[in-house]
Amino acid sequence: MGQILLAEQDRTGAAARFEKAVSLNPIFAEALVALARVKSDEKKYSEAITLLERAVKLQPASESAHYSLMLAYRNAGRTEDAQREKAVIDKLKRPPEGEFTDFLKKLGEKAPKQ
Amino acid sequence: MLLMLSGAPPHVRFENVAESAGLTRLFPNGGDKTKRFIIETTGSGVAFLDYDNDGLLDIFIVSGEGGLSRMYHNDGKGRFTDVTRKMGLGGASGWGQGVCAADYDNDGFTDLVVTYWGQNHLYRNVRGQSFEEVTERAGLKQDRVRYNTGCAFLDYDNDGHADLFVANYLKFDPAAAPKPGENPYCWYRGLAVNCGPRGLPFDRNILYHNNGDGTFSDVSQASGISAPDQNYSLGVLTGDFNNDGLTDIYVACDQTPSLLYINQGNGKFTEEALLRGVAFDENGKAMSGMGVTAADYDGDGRLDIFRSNFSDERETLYRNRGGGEFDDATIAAGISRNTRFVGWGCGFFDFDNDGWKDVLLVNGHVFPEVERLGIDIHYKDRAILYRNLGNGKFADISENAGPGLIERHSARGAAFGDYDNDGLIEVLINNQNETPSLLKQPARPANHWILVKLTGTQSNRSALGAKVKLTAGGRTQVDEVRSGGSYLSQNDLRLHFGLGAAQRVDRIEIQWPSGASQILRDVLAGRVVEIEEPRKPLARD
Repeated sequence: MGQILLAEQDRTGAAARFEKAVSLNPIFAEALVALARVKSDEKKYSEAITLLERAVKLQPASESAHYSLMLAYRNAGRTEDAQREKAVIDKLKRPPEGEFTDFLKKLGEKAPKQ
Repeated sequence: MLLMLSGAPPHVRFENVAESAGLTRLFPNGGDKTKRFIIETTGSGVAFLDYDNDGLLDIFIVSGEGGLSRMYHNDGKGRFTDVTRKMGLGGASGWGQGVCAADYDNDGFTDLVVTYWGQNHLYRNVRGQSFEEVTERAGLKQDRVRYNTGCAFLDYDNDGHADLFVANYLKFDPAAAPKPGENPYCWYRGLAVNCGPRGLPFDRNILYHNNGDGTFSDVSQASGISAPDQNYSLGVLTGDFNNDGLTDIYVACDQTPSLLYINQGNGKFTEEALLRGVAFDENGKAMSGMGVTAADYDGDGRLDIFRSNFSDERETLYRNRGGGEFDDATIAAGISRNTRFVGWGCGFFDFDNDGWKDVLLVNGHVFPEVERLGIDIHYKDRAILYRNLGNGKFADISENAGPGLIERHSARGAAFGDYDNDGLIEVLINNQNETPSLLKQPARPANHWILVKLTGTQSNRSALGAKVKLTAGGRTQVDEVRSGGSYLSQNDLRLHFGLGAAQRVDRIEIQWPSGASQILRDVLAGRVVEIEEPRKPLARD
């Protein structure tokens, strides 16, 4: 419901839904991320960071949570923390090793170093 | 002003005038019922350029395998004549992809690069009388078959010579590529389809430095351009996104993070898309980026970025928050609802001359087989036109903008330019296996306009990277001269500004790549104003 309201440009209504979701289920990481994005849009970066730090602890493999946290750090001027989150995302996004080995052999090339 | 902000569309009617303009040839591009290989899906681009300096934009259309890429001369009065062979451009065939234009040798005539799966071609414009194929002589011959896609000239080191960036999609050989259905990357919604890009090996992008003597040197490695090695690169956009006086490069990438090469000013670039917020969508997910365009859509003096993506994805609008850092403004701007289209060529342009840049994108799925599903996703589809409401939001007026907008094609490249100098921008579109579209508004809105044509003297002759800040009627607009852009295409090198009710421009300030600054005052609107860079630096205002 919160996402629908957000798409309808009703940020206040969306935030209320996300807050309700978090209060009902404090370990609902997706709701924490969604609420944090609303806070970021309102330039309340420290509130967003608090929510997102909770989210990444709950879901350490969530690219969405790490991405939002990286941007919140960046927007808050916490460059080193943003860089640290970027490194986490880079690691999460890395394609599987040897993905193209067979095709490159057909092309007569060696597989690139991953 | 009230009318402008109400969201009510003005009287707008785009018609496809390609046939009456003489653009009656079909441009082949792979299968129409089924496509066996990915190479059939990605082509091709189009260009508006004035190759003979007669003040009228000519047309170049890139063909896939089985046809010729063609040059059409603008004869005036809305007619174009095929001059491909007469101009010496009839010698190349194959899987043509992209096109970009600029005067790389500073001789006063606009040259042309056409990219291919295979060898690219550099065509030197010989005094507007013919084109000479100089790829090998210029040092641009490649040592292997590459899947070259988007390209753009830019003067990244501000030395007065236009350099060349070429995006590379992936490594592909039809003899080695898997066939439809052969592996998990060769399926779409239960249909066996051509494979990729996932499952096919990445390739690296290329930067050629212009040596100033008619030759180029490959500086991809030394510049850092070739460092990213996990991206499927397509559309190319240049611009000074962090406003440091140096041209940066943005690349829309398919199913992988898009790239933003930030120019460090010492011949090197660093790839910073992720931290600057333009690699992914707002959820941190890589989109299937195709085309890309830039403009200051919200009037804050900064270049924003729009990227077209695949179906089941939103288009992406990145708002520049300053310093070259971006926020995803797609939802906030009201353009998040069209998720059934595969978007390609796109452009910011002010179709109603109200002073706010609107957005048009053209569409068409990569899999003709999708028609078998009977769903609302189509191989041939209509275009989308978003009207800028002047308050940070857009309204989708596609279905009320004339018959040209709702024609269904499998469109790819799109170029934007004013070919009849009437102050309204036309749109040239490459449709797979069909004749091109040429979208034009027959009726002129009441608003005023100006076209700015810049010529560099100390800077590169095409004025690539020159910035214009224009003030009229109490509003200030900015733009930059750029080569390439959209999807594998080339727009008019002149800059177009809608002026609303203003009949005169109060001030035009130009920042030239050389560092020179120039100011013009009280300029009459409704015309093309030609501005040459001062040969000696002028005093500032």
